[in-house]
Amino acid sequence: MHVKDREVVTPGERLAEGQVVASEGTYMEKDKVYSKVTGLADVQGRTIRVIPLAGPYRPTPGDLVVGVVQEVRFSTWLVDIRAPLPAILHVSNALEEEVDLIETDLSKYFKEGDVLAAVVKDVNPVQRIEISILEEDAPVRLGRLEGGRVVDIDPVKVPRVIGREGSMIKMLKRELKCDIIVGANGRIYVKAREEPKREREALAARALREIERRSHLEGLTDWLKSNIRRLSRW
Amino acid sequence: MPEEEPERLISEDGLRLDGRKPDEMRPLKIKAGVLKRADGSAYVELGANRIVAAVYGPRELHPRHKQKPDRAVVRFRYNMAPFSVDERKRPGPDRRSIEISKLSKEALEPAIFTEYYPRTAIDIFVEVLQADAGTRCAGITAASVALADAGIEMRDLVAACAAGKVDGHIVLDPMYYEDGYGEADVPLAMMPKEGEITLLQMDGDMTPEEFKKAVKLAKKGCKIVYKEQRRALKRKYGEE
Repeated sequence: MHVKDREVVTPGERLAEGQVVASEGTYMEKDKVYSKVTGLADVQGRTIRVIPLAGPYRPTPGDLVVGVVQEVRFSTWLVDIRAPLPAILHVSNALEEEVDLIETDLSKYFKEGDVLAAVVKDVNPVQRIEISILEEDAPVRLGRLEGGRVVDIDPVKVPRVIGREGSMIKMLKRELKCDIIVGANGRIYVKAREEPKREREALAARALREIERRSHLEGLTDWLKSNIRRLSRW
Repeated sequence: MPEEEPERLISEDGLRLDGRKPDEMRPLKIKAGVLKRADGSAYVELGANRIVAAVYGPRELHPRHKQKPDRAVVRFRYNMAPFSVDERKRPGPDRRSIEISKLSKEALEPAIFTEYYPRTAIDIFVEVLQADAGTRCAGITAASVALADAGIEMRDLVAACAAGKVDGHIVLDPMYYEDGYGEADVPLAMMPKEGEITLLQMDGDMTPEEFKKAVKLAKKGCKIVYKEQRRALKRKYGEE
């Protein structure tokens, strides 16, 4: 190992050589391991990986994402999930009922601009991204999200919004009395359960931006909590 | 450019017009992440050069027929501001900037894992705000930092630096007058990790020996640039 755990590394930086397991964010050349992104080195025993500090959302099967319908096609919807390419939602992954595609216009179900919670089903080698809203074991109810608002943050900051064992997100939901769906793609859906709804959602959006901006700080959850309490006396 | 050619570009004690030694580079300053709207960006100062680079993407490429099914398309635009030189530069692409755009793209592409982003485009924009010779190299240097700042997966950073022949001496990183009145200019870009050269040009007259010497010197310059590029990226995240 040539780097310490949590060290910032840059593309092409030599991380290790010899008997090591090179994981994501790295590549090997002549039994030497190099970083391929700007990120934090994560060394665990003989395993090394690099957690990117910036970059586009890279969809992985199983990810929960929040997307916006971009285009309605004959048998599919194209959904923007902030990946380099739009994701494909096919009718067979969207509707349980049978549909006569010749007779029906799919915008009857979802139209341009609709916000959806979906799960990434498959990403093939040419980056054809398939998503589905019919997954049984999804952590939240999939499908169209109505009302509320959507906040986009940097996808690499998503783990911070969730917090250790969900501490951050649980606090936000409790203190703001909002339903929050955090997409792995950095798109977050917020809907207040109680009045004043618009104010609650606006405060949630502000809190999420603060998390994005101050993601490197420790004790962020408590700091946010006290600020939310102070600002939510309506 | 001064009205008249300076009598000599290298003094008797071997120093250059700006007091540098032949193998000395101009002061270099790099900053990563200077633009808010771009996915990645960088600012470079090399001597009096002032250059901003912005990277967008990988993003969907339109028109569709230009997409490559197995990799990303890299597009590069080098542009000089009208106020970047003494005489107003007519805005817009010209023969020179089209050439620089093409070879800068080719200098950076080998470093990018383009196969990870099929059917997309990675757009790189380099704006020269003030030119002081060696802008193509400083542009590549800036663009490479901007790519890394955008989180795009790369084999290595690409560092670039020029060498030249001035008054019969081989010098590192020629400045404005040396470029204008010197005998030759050798810009070079490389991936320092393996020493792979991705750009090499020569403009002017040199003997093969001089050329070899110039390449060696430019490579040395690239190593210095490379160190500074890494430091700029680490500095953005609070290290160093």
